[in-house]
Amino acid sequence: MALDALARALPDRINADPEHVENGLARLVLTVIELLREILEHQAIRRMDGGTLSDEQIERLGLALLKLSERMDELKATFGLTDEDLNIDLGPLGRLR
Amino acid sequence: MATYLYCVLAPPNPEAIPAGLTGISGSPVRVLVPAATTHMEVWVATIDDAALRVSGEALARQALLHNDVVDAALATGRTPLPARFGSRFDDDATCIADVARRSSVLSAILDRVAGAVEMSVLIVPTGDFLESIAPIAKPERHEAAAGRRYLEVVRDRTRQAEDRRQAAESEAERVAKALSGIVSGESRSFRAIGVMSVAHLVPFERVEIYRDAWYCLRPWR
Repeated sequence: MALDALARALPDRINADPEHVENGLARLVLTVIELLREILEHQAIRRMDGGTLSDEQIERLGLALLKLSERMDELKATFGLTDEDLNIDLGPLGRLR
Repeated sequence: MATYLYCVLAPPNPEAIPAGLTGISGSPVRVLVPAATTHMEVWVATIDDAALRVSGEALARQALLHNDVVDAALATGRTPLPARFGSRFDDDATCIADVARRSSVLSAILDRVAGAVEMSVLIVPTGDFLESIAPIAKPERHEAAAGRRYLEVVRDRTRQAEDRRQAAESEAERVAKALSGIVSGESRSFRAIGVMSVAHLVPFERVEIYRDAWYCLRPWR
């Protein structure tokens, strides 16, 4: 049990093992995409709350981001990744997300 | 074969390493004193690269072995600067060269932690607060006004995360207040899942006082 908890808490590393390198790279790429997606969402919410979008624009923007979120869920499932996996330890700066 | 780095220590005292100390894959731990940096020593071992290519529980076991060696270094009465788990070099010369290259930075940190130990604290949400932050479900695409609803859900989730962070900060402040005058340094990092990790630097002579102070912090909120 303690080992299992520790395994999850270990520093994240890109797995450069030839047999698993695809998964490691997918994790890195999806982390960057997820970060950009969240930035887009925050910007959309700011604009919605700021009243600069019409109801139709809000609906279209929200739907596009919802579809993007669903697509990300599919990609995470494909590579066996969770939300917690899509992060990078930046050392003294903390974690990316 | 490779040179695996466990930690850096100051001042050098190669005789202090426990006899027969082993680490990852049972390899004996050795002491190197870089000629260019005579004010510190490094604890290393020669290991097979294959020993590092593991995952899951095997990786966790290695991390514990790494930690055991660092603990052994601490038991020599000096505060070690632990190397990041998995620090591997082609050979001893490469390892020494890397340490020598960063010696000014390492020396500054060793000076800061000299005579102290780092205590880790995790602050996690519990009880009513945990229940109040139940996950907010995303709308289905076919629902009416799903787009607007999705943005509202994201906004609510963001607020939840901020509430969690503020609650953790508040608890960390309570802890910091209770431990002021005992710890000589503190750092905090917050994880999106709601857990705050706090590191306290505690002078050796105040470790018992530090532990006693935690009892005064009860009951946990």
